[in-house]
Amino acid sequence: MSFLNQAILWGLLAASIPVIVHLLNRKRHRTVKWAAMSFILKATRESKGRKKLKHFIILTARTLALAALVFAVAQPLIGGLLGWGGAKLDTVVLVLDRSLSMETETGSEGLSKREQAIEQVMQTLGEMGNPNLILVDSATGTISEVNPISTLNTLSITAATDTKSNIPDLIEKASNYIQSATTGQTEVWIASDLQSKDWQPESSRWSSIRSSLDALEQKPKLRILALTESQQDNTSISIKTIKRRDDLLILDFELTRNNDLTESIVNVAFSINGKSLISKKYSIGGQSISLQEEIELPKDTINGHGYISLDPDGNNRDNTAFFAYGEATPAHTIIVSEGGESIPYLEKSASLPGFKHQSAEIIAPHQVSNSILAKASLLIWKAELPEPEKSQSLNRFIEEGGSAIFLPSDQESDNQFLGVSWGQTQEANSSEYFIVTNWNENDGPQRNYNNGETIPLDTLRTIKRRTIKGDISSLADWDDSSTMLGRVIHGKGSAIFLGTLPNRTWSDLDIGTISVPIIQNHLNLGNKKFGSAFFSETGRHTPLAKQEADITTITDNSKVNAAFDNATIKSTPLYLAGVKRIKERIIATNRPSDEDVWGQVDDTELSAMLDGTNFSLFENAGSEDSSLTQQIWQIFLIAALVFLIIEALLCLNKKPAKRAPQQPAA
Amino acid sequence: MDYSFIDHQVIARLGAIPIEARQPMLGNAAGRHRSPLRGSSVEFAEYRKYVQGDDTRRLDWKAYARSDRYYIKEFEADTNLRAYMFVDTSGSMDFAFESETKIEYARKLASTLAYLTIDQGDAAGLSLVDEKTHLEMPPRRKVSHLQHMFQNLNNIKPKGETGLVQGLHDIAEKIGSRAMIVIISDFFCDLEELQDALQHLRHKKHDVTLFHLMDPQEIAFDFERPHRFVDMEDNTSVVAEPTIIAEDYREAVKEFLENIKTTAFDANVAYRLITTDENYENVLSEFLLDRVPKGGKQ
Repeated sequence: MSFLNQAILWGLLAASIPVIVHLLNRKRHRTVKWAAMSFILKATRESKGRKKLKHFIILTARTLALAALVFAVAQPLIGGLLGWGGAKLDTVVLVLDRSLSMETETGSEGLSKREQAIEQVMQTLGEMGNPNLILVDSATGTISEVNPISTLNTLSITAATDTKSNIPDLIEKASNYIQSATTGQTEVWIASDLQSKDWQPESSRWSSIRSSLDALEQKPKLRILALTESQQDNTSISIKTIKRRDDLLILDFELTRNNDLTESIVNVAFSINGKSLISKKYSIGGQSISLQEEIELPKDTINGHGYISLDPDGNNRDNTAFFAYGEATPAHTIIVSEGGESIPYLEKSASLPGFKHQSAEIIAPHQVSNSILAKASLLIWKAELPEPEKSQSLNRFIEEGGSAIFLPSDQESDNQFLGVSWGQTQEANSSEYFIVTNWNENDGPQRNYNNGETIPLDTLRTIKRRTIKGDISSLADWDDSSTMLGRVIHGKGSAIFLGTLPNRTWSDLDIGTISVPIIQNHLNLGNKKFGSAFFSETGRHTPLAKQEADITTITDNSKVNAAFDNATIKSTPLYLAGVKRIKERIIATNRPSDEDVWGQVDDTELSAMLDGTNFSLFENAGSEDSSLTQQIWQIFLIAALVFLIIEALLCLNKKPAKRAPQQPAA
Repeated sequence: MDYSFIDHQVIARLGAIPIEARQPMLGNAAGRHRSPLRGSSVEFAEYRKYVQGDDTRRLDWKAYARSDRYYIKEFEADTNLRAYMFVDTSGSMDFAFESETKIEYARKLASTLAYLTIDQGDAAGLSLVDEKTHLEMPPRRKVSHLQHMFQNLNNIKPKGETGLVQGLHDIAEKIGSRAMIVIISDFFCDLEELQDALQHLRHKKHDVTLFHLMDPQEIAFDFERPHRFVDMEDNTSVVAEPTIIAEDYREAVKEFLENIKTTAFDANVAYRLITTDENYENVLSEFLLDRVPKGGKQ
């Protein structure tokens, strides 16, 4: 506990006044000659126990009342952050969450949570006599000493960013720093909005963090400034995919909002190459909505950039999504075949007549190489699964966002790919078929069409199938609940395993109403990897940029709308969303999608994460009526009054009844 | 000689009320008070049969003529009142807090009563007792006797512990029977012993009245600061915090007052608690009026 008026504490000596007065009174008694001595002696004998205790309580109440009064005048400071008994600190290691969600404005002054945290830390440290301040910021992840502390809010390493945070990583860095440096009496302060995605409560790293904190010679206190105040209504916009088809740009974007109680209209503005194009209104009924918009590009443009933006709201930094585009990318399919009746059909399904940008190429398994796969969007593998040592290029293709479809091989093999292998080949009984009875209509290549129409998997007549073994998530099941279509997500891409062939001896999949949409959907998914070459996450170091100087900002939030970001101190471009030129390439960087997930860790999760550490939580640190150091003089004033009332009650003596007034002589 | 404890105006006002005995008295002279004996007053008492040895002069011859029997006609005897003022002069009677001392108040009561007694032709005596009875003045009717009494009252110097109980026993033995005894004291003594002494007096058929003197502060005990209380009788002292002991002190005093009242009631003696801030004239007029027979002379 610290005090605003520390000098007043000398007044505590005044608490001894009642005791001194009591002792002086005992010394300076008056002498009275008394006749009714027997009553005094009797009363003195009877008053020894209970009455002396009462008198002692009165004396104590007087002393405590004076002490409480002095404390109240000295304006004691306690609070969630400092707590009771806050000892003198040598060093404070501040872990500052600079993620985008910390830019949510709360309170009447229009300060973001990050700004409020910084202000309060500066104020508190000032009150504590300015101990050493070591900053670990979430964007750069570097450790910096801040001296003087008053400059904390003027540093670029405390400025707003469009990044996400990795709190476990930062705490680990703080722990390592304390271990390596001589910091004396140290505390770790964590200023964060407790966003679940940043804290990663499920991460296995927490146990090692606890161990490393526990292993420190002087176990530091962890004080968490939780800026958990719920934000105002906020809607964010993010681009999911971008596709160029000749002079058309097809934008798949998503609107997400924190308030899903009422339907609202959201205005979205589209801009290309710095010019506003159109502005459209969309209605949101739930928490999020996925939308698609086709934008006509200026003729004969090879590449360009733009953004889509929303009107200002609770957090302006998530109101813009940037994009960049290049030439239209052909949708090329590689069919790896061991031969068979189904191959021509698969080729046609992957390069539909009339779709000029689609093409398919049939190769043998041994021809598969990185260079061949680099230009492909989809890989159809109708051959024996590759041996592990020969599957590296296949792995990489999927990892980088490519799509793959695996079909049953004619050959028996135990080879596995991505933990999945083919099982037995089964044939249906005569005059019977394997029927698909259950499939996911919302996710996967077999999902419904955009107009809600279903792909009629239940009409499929299969006489031969091959079972799928391994850890795979099923998208469609046979009538005996075994997997007909399964998917494995790997890196940015995915591989699907189909349990039958478009072959008359296997099934009537070759009719087309089922296999064509499945292949086309998966092809489109794979084709997005070329679009994603124009995107990056804010804060992620791209291999193209060796130094910060390699990055030139073409457009950023402040250029989109000054009202969005009018900060004078700015982070370096790497941590800000916008369209950047990195050498010859144009890349749009946007905030990580995790920042659109607004869930916060709860007390139970926090206790589990920091179990065994000496941590204290100061909730709603950002609210207006809170301070990291709360003044509690009112409590002491009330305590003084209570003590005085107790003293008065105990001092109330039963006065003898007043005697009747003296009658005048007759 | 003038004494401060004599107020002639008070005596003049109280002189209008006679001092009456509440029971037949045995005096040494004819007076206005009823005697238990038959005497020569004009008030017929009773007839009784003549027995040998009776004075034949008291035979009622008219009755003999009517009944042919000898009857003696008896009349009530009137006698004088012998009033004893029994004043406690122990050290505790010298106590006063803001009003006058208890002994000053006792002087007023005793002297005024003695004056009124002698003034109406009765006899008044005085006994002063501290650790033992140190002065006894038998009742006399002479005015010069009154002067001696005043002088002795004036010379009182309270001291020592009280020998009140023994003094009462002594006086009960000495003064025969059927006298009026007014005891003026603060009664800081053993109440059981006091009760024995009072019953001794009642056994001798004395008309006993207790004037119980207390200083108002002795009852209220209204002190703020710690005090060193010095016993006025044996000079022992105790330092006490009045705020702590006041409640118990008052409780003890209350209990004492109730006990002494019960003691007086049990011994069938009159009792009057007097605080020294009371007007003594009121106390005495109340005392005198209370003794006046409601239906005239009994």
